[in-house]
Amino acid sequence: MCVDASGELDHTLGIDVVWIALFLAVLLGWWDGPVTCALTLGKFIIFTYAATPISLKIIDLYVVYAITTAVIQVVYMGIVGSFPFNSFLSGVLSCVGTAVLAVCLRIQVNKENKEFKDLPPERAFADFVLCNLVLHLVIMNFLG
Amino acid sequence: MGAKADNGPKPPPPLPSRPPLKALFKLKTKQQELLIRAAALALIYVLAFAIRLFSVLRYESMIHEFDPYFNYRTTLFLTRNGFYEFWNWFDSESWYPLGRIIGGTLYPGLMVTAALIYRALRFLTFAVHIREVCVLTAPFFASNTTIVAYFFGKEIWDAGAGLVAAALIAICPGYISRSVAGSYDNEGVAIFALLFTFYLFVKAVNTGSLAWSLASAFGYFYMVSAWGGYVFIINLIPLYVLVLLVTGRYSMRLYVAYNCMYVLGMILAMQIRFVGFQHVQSGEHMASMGVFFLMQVFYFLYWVKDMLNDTKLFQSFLQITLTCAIGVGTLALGIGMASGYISPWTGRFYSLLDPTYAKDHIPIIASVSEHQPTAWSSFMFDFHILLILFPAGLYFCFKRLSDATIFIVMYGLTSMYFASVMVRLILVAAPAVCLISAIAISATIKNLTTLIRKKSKAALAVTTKATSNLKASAKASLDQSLPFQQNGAIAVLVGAFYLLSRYAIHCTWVTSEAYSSPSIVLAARGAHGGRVIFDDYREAYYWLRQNTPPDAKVMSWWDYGYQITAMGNRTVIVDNNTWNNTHIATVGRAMSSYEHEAYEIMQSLDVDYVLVVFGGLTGYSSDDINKFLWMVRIGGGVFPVIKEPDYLVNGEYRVDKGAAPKMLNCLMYKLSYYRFGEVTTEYGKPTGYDRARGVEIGNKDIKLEYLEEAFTTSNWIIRIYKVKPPKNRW
Repeated sequence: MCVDASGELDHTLGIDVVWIALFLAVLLGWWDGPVTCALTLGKFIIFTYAATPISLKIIDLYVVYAITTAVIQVVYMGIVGSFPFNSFLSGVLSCVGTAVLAVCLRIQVNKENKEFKDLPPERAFADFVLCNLVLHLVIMNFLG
Repeated sequence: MGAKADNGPKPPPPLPSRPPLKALFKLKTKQQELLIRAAALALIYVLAFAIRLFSVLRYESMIHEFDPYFNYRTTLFLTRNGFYEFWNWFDSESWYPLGRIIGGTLYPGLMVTAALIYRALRFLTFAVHIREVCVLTAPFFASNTTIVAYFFGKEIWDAGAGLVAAALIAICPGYISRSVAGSYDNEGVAIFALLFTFYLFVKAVNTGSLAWSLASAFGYFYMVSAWGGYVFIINLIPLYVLVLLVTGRYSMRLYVAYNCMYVLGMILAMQIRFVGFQHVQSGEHMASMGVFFLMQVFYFLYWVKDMLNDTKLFQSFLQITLTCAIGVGTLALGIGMASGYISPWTGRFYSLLDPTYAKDHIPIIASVSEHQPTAWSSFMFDFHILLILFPAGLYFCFKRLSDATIFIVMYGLTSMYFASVMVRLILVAAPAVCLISAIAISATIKNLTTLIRKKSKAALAVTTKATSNLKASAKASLDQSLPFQQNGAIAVLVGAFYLLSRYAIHCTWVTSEAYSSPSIVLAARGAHGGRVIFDDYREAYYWLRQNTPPDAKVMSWWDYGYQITAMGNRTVIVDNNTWNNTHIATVGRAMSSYEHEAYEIMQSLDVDYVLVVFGGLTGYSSDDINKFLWMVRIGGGVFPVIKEPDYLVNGEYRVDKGAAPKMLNCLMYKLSYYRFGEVTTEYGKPTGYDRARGVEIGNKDIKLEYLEEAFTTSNWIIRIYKVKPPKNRW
């Protein structure tokens, strides 16, 4: 430990170590909650979600596919620019729209929802098809 | 008695000997009630149509006001040239020399509707002229609005409230003011579309069905195609969703209804060229997008919460997701607004939130009389007893809170706020006020009549049934404790019917006196009480049509532009669309300058004729001299050489001898009062007495150097001047 001519304390390796240890401790402490949370989520995905009926899982897969397509389109727009903006919008909105409609279908078909127990699943599916038809007709008009 | 032997054919049953009318009373109560309801609705439908026909009966079947002439001209073009030409129309007959892209700057709903009705009638071989269809479109849609109001009332409260709502809105003066026969304007169709969209959305929230949400998306599309006021819908519905989420009325039906309506409605709305990409780029539409994302986050969290069944874990998950979502959302919004990608609220709608904004910054918006704040007298005039029944209805809605009543309360309160900011928006508040008042009336009358019937039923029970003596005596004691209940109920009922009958009388009087004037044809009482008609406007426009070259350009104030192009068929410099403030300011500057300066401006714009409206001879007060200060303000807003104090004397606007010299020599003054100094207008007054201002004009000896008088109508209301070509050099 050497003292400067000005009288200030130089920072040494010891002080550095203390700072790094403090930093890591805070980080780990803050991360503790999210880590256990992520582990439980993983457990949940493997056990509870596996118990859902296969029809709902198909719908969920469709939603994930639609959202992924939308994200890919947004990334592509970020790369090449958004010139025919109506084309970009119609592409993204068709993905988002069909995802949202699929989620609505899932809600209506799910047997655990008390609000929709009187609704026959065929009617729900017919509504879903009709809305998708209208959505894609408008998209075709807007594509340009 | 053994088995019943069938001894041959049975004799035919005796024919009913009662007349068929009595058979009506043999119907079951439910069928009777249905018959009464259907009959009442049919009468209300006819009433709504009939009350709007005053001006057609008094004058003739013509289009009123200014804006409807543009709508009529575009509908005419649509029926003659087809939809493709209409959608891509570039009009070179207005805003000379700029032209106007009509196809991309109008709301096509009204024109397409009228054209479709015209085609349908022609298909059924009714040989109607398109003008008749245009004149009667607004009353037809007002009748349809009453039907929608009935179903909406039924959805919110019950069938009785629906009937009363239909009856109230059929004759409500606030709605009649913009939907008389001849008022061929966007609002006539838009209020129907507004109420229809709201009804379909409330139905979707109540049933949670995708089909109803799709229907509400189509209703929204129709509204977007019809009127710029669709911004009200796209902000009220997200606000309603937010209120439902905040008050804990979380349900799956809400998710289905809002999401389907938002996505489909947005993509449908973008098909209208005038709206374009505003749903993703304009600040006014960001509320709906924000609520859309909020709903996704909210419902995702609820789903995870249901799945996890572990509250502590869920809390930490909630914290992470919420911080991420809020962070990302605020960041995106901030970047969007800062970079200017998301445009801020436009002046038209910003002045609704801050009423003082337009007066300071946008004089064109402030100058329109419909945009002024509303006085209490206007409210009373347009709503009458509904104004008092509105708070009563709110009370009933709060007593029986459901998703539907929350919606109507929010619609009522927000629309009343906006109606108080701008007179024109009383129209938007009218359906809400009628519905809520109908709830008050229906609930009150129902309570009163059950009170009366319960008394008589209890009396009947006491006399006829002696089975439960204890109950009967208890009821009898209850009867005697409030002896005047029945009389009180009857008295209040009589009072209610009296109020409703006064409402009907008031509405008819208001429609007849105030809202049925075509404003293009003026009427007055002559000296002997007979009716005098001033048809000067049409006289002037037809003179223009028949006596000027086809490529003549006419300069006038922007109020008359639509009428000149529609009836005079000539090119104008500025018209009511007011999309280019600088162009209007140029015309304003020309009107407020001295004649030689104005001549240079008119040469630069290729003007051939100048048209001014003058009310001094007849006492018509909506003439150009009364609008002149607005010309000065708008012109001065762009060209600082025009200063308003130059035209005023001690802050006062005068046209007599004491007027400012710049006022006495500006172009507008000269054109209005040319040769007026020789005319005696009233017995006992000097020549040149201006009956609209009530003074003798200051400059009676006017000489025009660069213009010459071309035409003055029979009552001097419209004066047309020809611009002289430049003098020869030598």
